[in-house]
Amino acid sequence: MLQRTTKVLVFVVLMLIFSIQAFAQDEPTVLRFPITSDPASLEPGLVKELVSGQLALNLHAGLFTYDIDTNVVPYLVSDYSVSDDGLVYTFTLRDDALWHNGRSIVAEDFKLGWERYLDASLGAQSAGEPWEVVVGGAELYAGEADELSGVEVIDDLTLQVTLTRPSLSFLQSLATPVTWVVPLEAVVEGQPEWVDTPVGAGPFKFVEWTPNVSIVLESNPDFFLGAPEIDRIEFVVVPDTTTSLAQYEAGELDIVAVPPAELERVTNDAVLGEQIQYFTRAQIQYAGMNQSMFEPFQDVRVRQAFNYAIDRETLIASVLNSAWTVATGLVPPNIPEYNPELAGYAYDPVMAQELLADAGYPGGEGFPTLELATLSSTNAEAIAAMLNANLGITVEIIQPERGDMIDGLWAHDRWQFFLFGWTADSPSASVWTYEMLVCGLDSNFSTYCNEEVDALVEAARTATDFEEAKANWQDAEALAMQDAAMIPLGYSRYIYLVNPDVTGFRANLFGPLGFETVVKG
Amino acid sequence: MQRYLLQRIFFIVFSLFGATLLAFTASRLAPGDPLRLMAGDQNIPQDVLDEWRARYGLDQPILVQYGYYVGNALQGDLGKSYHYVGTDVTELLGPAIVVTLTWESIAIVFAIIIAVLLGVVSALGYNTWVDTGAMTLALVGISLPDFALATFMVLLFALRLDWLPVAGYETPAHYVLPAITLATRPCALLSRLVRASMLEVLHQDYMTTARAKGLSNRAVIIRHGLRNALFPVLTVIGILIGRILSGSFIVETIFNIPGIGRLGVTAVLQRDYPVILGATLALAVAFLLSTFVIDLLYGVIDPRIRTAG
Amino acid sequence: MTDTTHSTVKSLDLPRPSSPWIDAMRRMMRNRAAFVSTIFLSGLVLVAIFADFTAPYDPTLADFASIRQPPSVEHLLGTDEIGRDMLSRIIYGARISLFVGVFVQVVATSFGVTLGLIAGYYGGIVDVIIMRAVDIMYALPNFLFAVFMVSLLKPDVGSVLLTLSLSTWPFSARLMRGQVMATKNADYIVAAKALGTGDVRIILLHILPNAITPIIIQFTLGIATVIMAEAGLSFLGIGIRPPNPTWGAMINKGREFIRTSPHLAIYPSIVLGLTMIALNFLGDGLRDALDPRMKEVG
Repeated sequence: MLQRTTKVLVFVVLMLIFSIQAFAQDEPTVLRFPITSDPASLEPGLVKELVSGQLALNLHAGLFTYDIDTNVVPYLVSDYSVSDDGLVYTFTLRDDALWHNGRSIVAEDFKLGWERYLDASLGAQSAGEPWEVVVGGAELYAGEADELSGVEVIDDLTLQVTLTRPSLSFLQSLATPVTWVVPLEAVVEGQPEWVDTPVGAGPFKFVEWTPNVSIVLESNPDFFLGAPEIDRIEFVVVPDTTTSLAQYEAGELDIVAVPPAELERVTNDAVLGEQIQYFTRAQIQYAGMNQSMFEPFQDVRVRQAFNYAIDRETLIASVLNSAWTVATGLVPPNIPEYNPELAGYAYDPVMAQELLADAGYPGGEGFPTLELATLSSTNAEAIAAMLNANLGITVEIIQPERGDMIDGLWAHDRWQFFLFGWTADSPSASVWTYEMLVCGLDSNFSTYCNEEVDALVEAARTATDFEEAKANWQDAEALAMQDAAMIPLGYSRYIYLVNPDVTGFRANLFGPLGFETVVKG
Repeated sequence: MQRYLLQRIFFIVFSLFGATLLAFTASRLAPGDPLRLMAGDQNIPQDVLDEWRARYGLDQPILVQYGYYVGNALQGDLGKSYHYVGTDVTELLGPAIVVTLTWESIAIVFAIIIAVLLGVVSALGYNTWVDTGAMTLALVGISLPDFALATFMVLLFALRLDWLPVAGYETPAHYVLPAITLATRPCALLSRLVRASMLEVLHQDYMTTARAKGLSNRAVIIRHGLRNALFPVLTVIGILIGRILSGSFIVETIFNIPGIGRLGVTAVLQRDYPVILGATLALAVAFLLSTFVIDLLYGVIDPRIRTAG
Repeated sequence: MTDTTHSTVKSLDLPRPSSPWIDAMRRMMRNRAAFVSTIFLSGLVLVAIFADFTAPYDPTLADFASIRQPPSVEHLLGTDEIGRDMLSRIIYGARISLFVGVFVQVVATSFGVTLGLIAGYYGGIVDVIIMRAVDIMYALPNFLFAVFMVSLLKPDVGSVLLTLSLSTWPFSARLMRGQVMATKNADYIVAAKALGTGDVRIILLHILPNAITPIIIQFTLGIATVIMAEAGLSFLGIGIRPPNPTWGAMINKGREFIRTSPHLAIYPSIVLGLTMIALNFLGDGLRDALDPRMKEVG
C-alpha cells in the first residue's frame, strides 16, 4: 500500500517536472527590439527611412545583400556572370527559395516587381538611381514604355539584365532592399503599403502590426538559409530614447541604442559596461548652411568662420561622451574613397573672428539672428553657445518633429541652418560627395553650388576605373571642404546595449543586419 | 425636461461641428505639405504629389472638403491616415481610445476617491493640523508638471526600488505609475473643491437643524453634508474628465502607452491631419458627453433642475 | 451649463469705496500662507526683473570644461549639460515663465471678461453667439489644440503667447457671464437703470466691481495653469526657443540626465513647484480676503 502510494507520488512528481520542462521548451524565444516610430512601409521597394529598412532586412530577401563587412554577397542568387563589356548581367536563382506564401521564387517575379516600382505614382525610392543604367528603365519611369526591356526572363531560374553603360554600383544597388521585390499576387490593389499581410522571402514572417505599439515577426521555417533560432521578434515602438534605455535596464527590452547623454554612465556601470557593443557606421553628422535661405552664408568667409568657430573636439568629448569621432571631411572612414589626408578645420576662434570681420560683421555686429533647426537639442545648444561666444552672433534653436524637419530639408525653404546626419545606403563616396554637393540636387540641402566641384563629381561618376573615380571623388571633396560647403562635425557609430543572453547580433556600416543569426538564452 | 434635453443635445452637436470645422480649417491652412511627409526621408516629384493630392481630395475648396468629411464621418469613415499610409483613421483611433479609457478610468476613480477623502477630512478638521497637512499634500500635487512627477516616480519606483515596470501597458502593474501621475493634479484640485464645498454646506441651516433633531454627527455629515457638498463638485468632475482625456499625452509618452493622447499629439507633430481631426473629434465627444452625463446626474440628484430647466 | 461654484456674489448694496478693500488687505496679512507667498512671489518677480544684476552668470554662456557639475561655491546650483550656470538659468527662466503667465492671463482675462460682460449684460443673440463660441473652445481638447496651433504658426514666443491666450479666454468669459447674470437683476441695478444711467456706466461702476472677486482669484490661479501649459509645450520642443531658458525646458532636458545628474531636473522642478504653491496660496488668500463669508466659517 505504502509502496503504491509512493509510486503514485513519484509518478505525479515526475509528470510535474516533465510538464514544466515541456512547458519551458514550448516557451518561444522572443527578442524585443525598440524602434522609435512605426515604419513608413513594410514593402522593401518603398523603404524610406531607417526603421522600414531594418524591417525589410528581416522580412524580405533580394538577389544580393550586404554582409557584416559591408561586402556585396549573393543572396537569392546562386551564381552570376558579367559580360566582358560590363553590360550584360546573367543571374541564376537558387532553386530552394520560397515566398512566405509557399510559392517558389522565379525570375519573372523580379521583372514584374521592378516594373511595378517604376510606376511613378507608387512613389518608390528605387524609381530613380538603379534603373537609370538599365536599358528601358528611364523610358518606363517616364511612362513612355510598357515594360522594362533591359530585363529578360530566360527561364524560371535565369534572369538577364542589360545596362546602358558599365556601372561600378549596379550590384551594390541590387544588395539594398529598395530593389528587393515581393510576389505580386500578395499585393493588395490600392493598398500598396501592405498594412495587413506583407509577404516576403526573408528569414522572418509577418505576424501582426499594431500601429503605435509593435510589429511582430516569427521565424520562417522555410527560409532558404535555414530557419532562424529566435522564434519571434517584437519591434516595440518606443519614441522616447530615455524610456527605451530604462526599459532595457529593467529587462523589458533585449537590445537598445545608447543615447550619447547616457554613454558615460553606461560605460562606467559595472553591469551595463560589459554589455556595450560598438559598430562602425557610415554617417556624417554635420551642420548645414542653407545659402538660399540665409544670405550671409553665400559668403565663403562666413562659412569658413563658422567652421573655425566650432570646437569639434570639445563638443564630441564633453557633450557627446565621444560617441562620435571628429570629422575632417564628408566621406566617413571605412568607405573606400575616404581621404585620410584631409585636415578639416581646426578650432581657431581668432581666425574665425577675422574672417567674419572681413565679411563685414566685426564681432558679429549686424549679423542677423540665425535659426538652427535640429532633432537633438543638446548638440544644437552647444553649437549655438560656441558661435555666440566666438563670433558674437545669436543663434536660436527650433526643434521640429522628424518628418517635418526632413520635409523642410528637401524643400530647401524652411531651415536656415540645421544639424543633420547623412547616412550611406551604399558604400560609395557618391552618397556624400554627389548627393550633398552637386548644384540643383534636392538632396543638396545647403543649396551649395560650385561648378568645379560638379565637374569633378561628373568625372568620378562616369569613370570605369575605380582608382580614377576615387581620385576625382577625393578632389571634389577637398575642394568643397576648402570652400566650406558645410560644417562636418563627426562620424557617428552604432552603440548598442545587448542583453548578455543574446548572441549573434550583427551590424554593418548601414546598421543592424537581419536577426536570423541571433540566439537568445 | 424634454425641452432642456433637446436644447442640450443641440448645443452638443453644434459644438462638435464648430470644433471640427475649426480644426479642419486650421489644418488646411497649415504651411508645409502633409503629402511630402508621406514620402518619409525620400523626395517625391511634384506630379506624383499632385496625383496623391487628388487621391486624397485635397484639391477641392475647404468647405467642400469639410462637407465630404462630415458626410463620411456620419457613415463612420474618418478617412485614411497620411502617416500610416492606407490605414483607416478609425482603425487607429479605436484601439487607442480603448487603451486610454482603460488606464485613465482607473486614474479618475482613484483621483475622485482620494480627493473626496482628503477634502472631507480636512473640512471636518478645519484649521487643524489634519486640514493643513491634507491641503499641503494637495498643493504639492498641483505644483509639479506631469513629466517631472513621472520622471521622479520612474526613477524611484521602477529603477531604484524595482517594484513596478518602467513603461508599457501589458499588465495592471504597468498602469500604476501612469495612473498616479495622471490622478495627482485632478485629485489635488478636487480635494480643495470638496473641502470648500463641504465647509460651506456644514454651516447651512439645515445641517444645524439636523443636528438639533438629535442626529449623530457622522450621520449628519454623510446623509446631508456629503451629498450636498458633492453637488457642485460634480460639474467640475465632468470638466476634469474631459481635460484628463486630452491632457494625457505627456504621461502616455513617458510611459509609452499607445493611447489617444499620444496618437493625437504625434499626429500633430507629423502633420497627419486626418488623425488630428479624428482625435479632436473623439476627445470633443468624450468631453461633451461627460459634461452632459454629469448634467443629467444633476437632474437626478436635485429635482429642482428638472423644473428649472 | 450651471455655474454653481462661483455664484456667490452678494448683492447687498452699492459698494462703498475703499474700505472693503482695506479690510481685505488686512485679512490677507493675517493669512500666514498667503502672506509668505506674496513675499516669495514679489521676491521672485524682483529677482526676475533685475536678472541682469541678480544672476551670477550669463545664462547662455557655456563652459565646456565644467559640464553637469554638482552645486559648488562658484555655481550654487551646479551647471547644466553644456556647462551653463543653473542658478542664472533659473533666474532668467523665471523672467520668461512669469512673463508668459502674466501676459497670457492679462490678454485672455481682458478679452474673456469683456465678452462675458457683453454676453451676460445684453443677453439675446449676442449672448448666444458668444457663449456658443465659448462652448466650441471648451469642446476642443485644450492641449492638443495648443500643440496644433503652435505647430501651424512659427514656433516662437509670439505664437506660444497667442496660442495660450486663445485657449484660456473662454474660462474667464464663462465665469464673468455667470457673475453678471447673478448681479444684473439686483434691485440697485434695476434702480440705476430706471434713473437713466447709461449701460457703460452701470457696467463699469456697478456690475464689474461686484463681479471682480472671482475674476481676480481666477487670474492668479490661471497664471499657474499657463506656466504649466508652457512647460508642456517645452516638453514637446515647441515652447519658447532655446537657448532662452524656461523652467519647463530645463526640467525636460534634465530628464535625459536624471540618472547621472539629477540636479538638472530637480532644481528647476523645486522652483517651479514653489511658484505654483505660492500662486495657489495667494489665490486662496485672495478668496478668503475678498469673500469674507468663508472666513466666518470655522
